[in-house]
Amino acid sequence: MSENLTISRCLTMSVAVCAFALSACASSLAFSSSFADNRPADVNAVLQRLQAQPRAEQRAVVVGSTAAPTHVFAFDLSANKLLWKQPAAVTTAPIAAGNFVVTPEAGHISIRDLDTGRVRLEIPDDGMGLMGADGDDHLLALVLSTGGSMGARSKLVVLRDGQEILSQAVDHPLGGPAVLGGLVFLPWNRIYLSVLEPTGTEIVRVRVRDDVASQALVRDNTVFFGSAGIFRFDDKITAGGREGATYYRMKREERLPANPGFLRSSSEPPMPATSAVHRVSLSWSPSSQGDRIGLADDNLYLAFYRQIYALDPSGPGVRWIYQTVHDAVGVKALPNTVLIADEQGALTVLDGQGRVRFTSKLGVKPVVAHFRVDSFENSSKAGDEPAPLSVQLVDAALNPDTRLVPMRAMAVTMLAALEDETATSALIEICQDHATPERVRTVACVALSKRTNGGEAVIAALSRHANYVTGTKAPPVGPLSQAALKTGDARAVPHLIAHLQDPETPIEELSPLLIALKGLADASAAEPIADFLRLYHADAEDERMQDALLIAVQTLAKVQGPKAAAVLEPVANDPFGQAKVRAEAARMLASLTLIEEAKAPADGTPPKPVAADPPAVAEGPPERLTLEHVKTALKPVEDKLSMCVRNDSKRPSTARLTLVIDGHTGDVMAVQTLPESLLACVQPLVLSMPFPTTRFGKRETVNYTLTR
Amino acid sequence: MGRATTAAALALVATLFAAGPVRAERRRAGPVNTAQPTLEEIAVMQSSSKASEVRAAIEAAARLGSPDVIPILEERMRAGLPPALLEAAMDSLVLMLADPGVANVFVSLATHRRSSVRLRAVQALVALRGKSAERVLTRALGDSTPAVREAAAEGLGEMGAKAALDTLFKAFDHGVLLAGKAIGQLANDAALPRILAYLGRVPMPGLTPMFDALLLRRDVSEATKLQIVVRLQELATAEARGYLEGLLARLPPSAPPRLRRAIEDAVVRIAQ
Repeated sequence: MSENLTISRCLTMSVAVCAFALSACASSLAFSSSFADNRPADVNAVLQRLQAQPRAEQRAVVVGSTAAPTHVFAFDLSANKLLWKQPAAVTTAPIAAGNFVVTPEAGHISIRDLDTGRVRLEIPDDGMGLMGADGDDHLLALVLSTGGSMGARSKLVVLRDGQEILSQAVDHPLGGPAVLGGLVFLPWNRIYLSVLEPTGTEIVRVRVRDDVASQALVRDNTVFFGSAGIFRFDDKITAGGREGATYYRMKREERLPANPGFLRSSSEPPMPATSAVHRVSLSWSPSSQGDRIGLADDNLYLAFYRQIYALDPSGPGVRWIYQTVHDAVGVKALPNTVLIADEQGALTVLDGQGRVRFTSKLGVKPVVAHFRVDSFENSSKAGDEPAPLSVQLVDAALNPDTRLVPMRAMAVTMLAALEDETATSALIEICQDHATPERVRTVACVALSKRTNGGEAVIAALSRHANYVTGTKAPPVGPLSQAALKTGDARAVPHLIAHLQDPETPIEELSPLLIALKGLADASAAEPIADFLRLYHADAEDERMQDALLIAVQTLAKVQGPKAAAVLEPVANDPFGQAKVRAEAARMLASLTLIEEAKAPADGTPPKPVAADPPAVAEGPPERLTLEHVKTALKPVEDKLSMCVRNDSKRPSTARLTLVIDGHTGDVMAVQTLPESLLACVQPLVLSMPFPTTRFGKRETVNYTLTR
Repeated sequence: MGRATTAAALALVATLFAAGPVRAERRRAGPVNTAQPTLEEIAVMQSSSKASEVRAAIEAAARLGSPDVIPILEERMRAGLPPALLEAAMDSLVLMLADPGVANVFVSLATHRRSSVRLRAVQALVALRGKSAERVLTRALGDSTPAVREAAAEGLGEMGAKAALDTLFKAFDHGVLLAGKAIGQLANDAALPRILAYLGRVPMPGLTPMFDALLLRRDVSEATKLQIVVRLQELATAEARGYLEGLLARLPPSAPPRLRRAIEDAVVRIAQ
């Protein structure tokens, strides 16, 4: 350290000691436990001082540090030129404050002249990090702190015209300060905002609840402070809480990826300049409208590596998305303006609609950049109109950068909130793209399955089938089925049937497909489902297939009613059948029987035909023999057959009867029973009964269940 | 039959015949022994709860060789069987070549979820040459299982399915090797530019089945064949030379003298 600096430090320390003594005598020692808080008269006096001393607009700059070999730099936004670049062992992000650049370096904080980059002062950091800095034309206030709450150490340093006039160490956590009207606004202990004279004398103390006092900032000659939201320092601040004070907190409820803070937390030490934290951040500009405060343009900007989202702070919506080629390492929101600095040194200025208004080059490649700018005027013509939001969201969702996966998933969620057909088509595309990360794809598939609009896109997608030669991929049949079910779109039924019959339909898609067919309950599905059930009930090693078959059983029963028994009965009794499937078929058979019995009148008279089941008409011989035919034929000996089962030595609860019938003559050609011990009793009864012939006269094998 | 796919299909059921004479001989000779179940017994056995009994019934049906077993087998297959028994039943059914109705069951099994079943169905359809086979085989070119695609391509070539030519070209473009052979069997002179476009783009071993089939066909013009030889000569690779040398040896005596000379010239002109 130079001799001049040493002398300067001795002087300023003397001043600080004097200030300490004076403030102690006046009972206004900063951070004293006896200082009264939330006194309206004190606040009004400060507000009058602020009104009397508005802050002049400050030079618009970007400061930051580069990758190794590390440099600290300053770029003048108005002049559009790099002011200077100097080698420095930068540890955490530099901050432009007043006429200086405050740079944390190894073991100390450098105070550089903003115009030239010349080091004016070096302050030992005592193992603390830079929590914040602010200044005006004369004053500079900076806070160092260890972070944390219990056992926290902090130091407030104030410079006037480059000379240190206060260096006060405290055993409290201090937050980022603001400077306005020749006063220092300092958040501390997470619940206080104190207003200090530059000498350290505390003149106002505000105690807040409902939020934390972590950072203070100045916008349009007004001081704001807070953490999860912002309080305005005005005549209502003595109310101390969100009720009564002028306070804003965004209503957006969902947790954003990587959970960036609304304001930087004073309990966390600053992160290294190279940390990814600087590439994931929220940016906003406070706006005042009478008694209310909010965010300028009602936009909350989320920077996530290469994507900038203009979010609706009041709900889950998004207004637009801008994607950068390289990581954004600094973002600043102003009214109708967003400034972005990327890691390759590109400077991009967007307007409030996401249109590019200005681009430039910083001349350096920053790892972190900090904007200090009150307004940015540029007369450049707006760039091209952004693409429709749905297209922006799809582009964001399909960005292949793996770091963006959480945001890509969020983009899909946002896409799902749009009601247009394009959004549905995009969800289909993302859901079926197996190259998309599973997390993103899952979000798309779930959203698609809940879709209640975009029916045309759903039907169009369902009409597609996988084909190796044409390179067509199978559509996401499961989610599409659920979407069709949501809308009750019967047009989907033939497509769902086609996918049920298509071997390329992934096995895990069969259950949702069948659930949709069950819900849509179209009669045309009965035969294909019956075929499916017959074909696979004895070929179901895979649990997913078993699940599908269980649903197929239920669907068939729902679609066909009692007629389903002709299919379910053989399935229930097939010894080769999968056990769970057989059990479900038996359960369904029993419930169908109960329904039939319930239809029968109590007096024992035959039940009236069900409306949905029209009376039979003479149609000639049936094409095939069904269980109904066998049941009818055996009706006269039904009781005797039951007696055979009851009296059998093996005492089965049910028995299986297999008949081979000549379709040409109706003759029974063979009889088999299970258990075989029943054959002697059953065979003569069966052979005594006439069976119908069939239209084509083919030999028919029918399995029938005998009950006790 | 004498064709590869048909032979493959029949090979699957060869074991069924290991102990007995072929079907035609059986019909003349009648039942071989008294252990052969009757049709009715087969029908009952097929409903057994024992897999071994069902399998015995399927095998007995094949040995019986009667068209009357077709509906029994068909019915049993439609009612659902474990995979091994289903495939055994398919192998038995494929022997009923005389009955066109038997093709229907294979058409439906050509979309079975098990690729082994689809492959058998495709091979059976090629063997049966049913009316619907061409449509089913063309669709099977797009199957996700390579073996099914290859069998379908080969079958389409064997069946002379000219309508499938365009799809076969697409299949060949997507790496279905036997589609090349089928193209060679089906292509007409007009398709020559498309075929020649593969030269230099597709490795020679992948093209030889296509050229073999094309150059040995009688219904392809001599001009087309000469054009192929000229382009192979222009390719002037060792592989092209080797192929032409081999082709020369395989040319039938009836091959046009100009073609033979052109091949000989090409072999000489392509430097060693």
